[in-house]
Amino acid sequence: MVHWTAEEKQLITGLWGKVNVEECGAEALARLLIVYPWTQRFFDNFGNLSSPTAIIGNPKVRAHGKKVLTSFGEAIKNLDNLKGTYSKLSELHCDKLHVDPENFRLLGDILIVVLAAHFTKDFTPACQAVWQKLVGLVAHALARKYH
Amino acid sequence: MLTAEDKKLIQQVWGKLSGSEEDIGAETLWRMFHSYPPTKTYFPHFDLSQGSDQIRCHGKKVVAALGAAIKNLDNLSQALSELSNLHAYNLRVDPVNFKPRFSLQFLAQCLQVVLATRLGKEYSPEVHSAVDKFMSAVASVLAEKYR
Repeated sequence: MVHWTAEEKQLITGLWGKVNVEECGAEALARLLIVYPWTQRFFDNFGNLSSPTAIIGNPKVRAHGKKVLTSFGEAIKNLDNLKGTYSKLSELHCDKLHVDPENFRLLGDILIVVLAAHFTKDFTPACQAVWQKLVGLVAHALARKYH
Repeated sequence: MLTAEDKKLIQQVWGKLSGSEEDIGAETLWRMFHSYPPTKTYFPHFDLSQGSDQIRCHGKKVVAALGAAIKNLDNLSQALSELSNLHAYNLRVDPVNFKPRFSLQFLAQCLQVVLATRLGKEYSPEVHSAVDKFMSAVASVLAEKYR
């Protein structure tokens, strides 16, 4: 059973309130595809992913990034039940999408760097520590139903 | 692995932060200890409180080593040879290449975050990618001698 202190919850929800989910999601997914190009294997039907510029401007990348981060927002509303929140998505990523769970950890770390670049010194060490905990737990919840 | 463009970007980023090396080193270590408490196990002999002289001093050493590596991007193996021996035989810090992810990877993530907080929007996907590849290469070289 995950334990969140009141301070940790505040560090998460406080920051999340200032996040533009569409922009941040688009940025995080684009960076995943740029920094770890092998992740493009899951997005064959996304069109032009031939360069960082193409990836950043790709409307399907933007739309999917928004979708992924919106789902993250759901997790933040349900910090005490991440496993339940991600149960169906976990099955989907295993059975239909065939995504190696290592990719969830990669995306989590990328999201942290995006938040760091956006919030600069406000993304304090305490803030980073809580968010690293969160992305780790989300990755774990998403991997939970794999078989 | 590192393209000519990657090398240029890495040298540029490092150039921009010249003068702040000590702060960057200390902050990176502090974030690492805060986000990944198991990394503290390698420093039982240190005062790990915030602002400690030992953290500053060690951070400075780590960043100086990275700086030296950046001056020798064409021959990282040789540039990091001594450190590779030290980490493999004396320190035996868990390397990044062996699953699951270990200490050197956490250091790399925290360095990314520190650079992102200092450079904000300038920390473009291309720079992020180049630094990530560089830190992977450093970790690979350090892990070479482990077995």
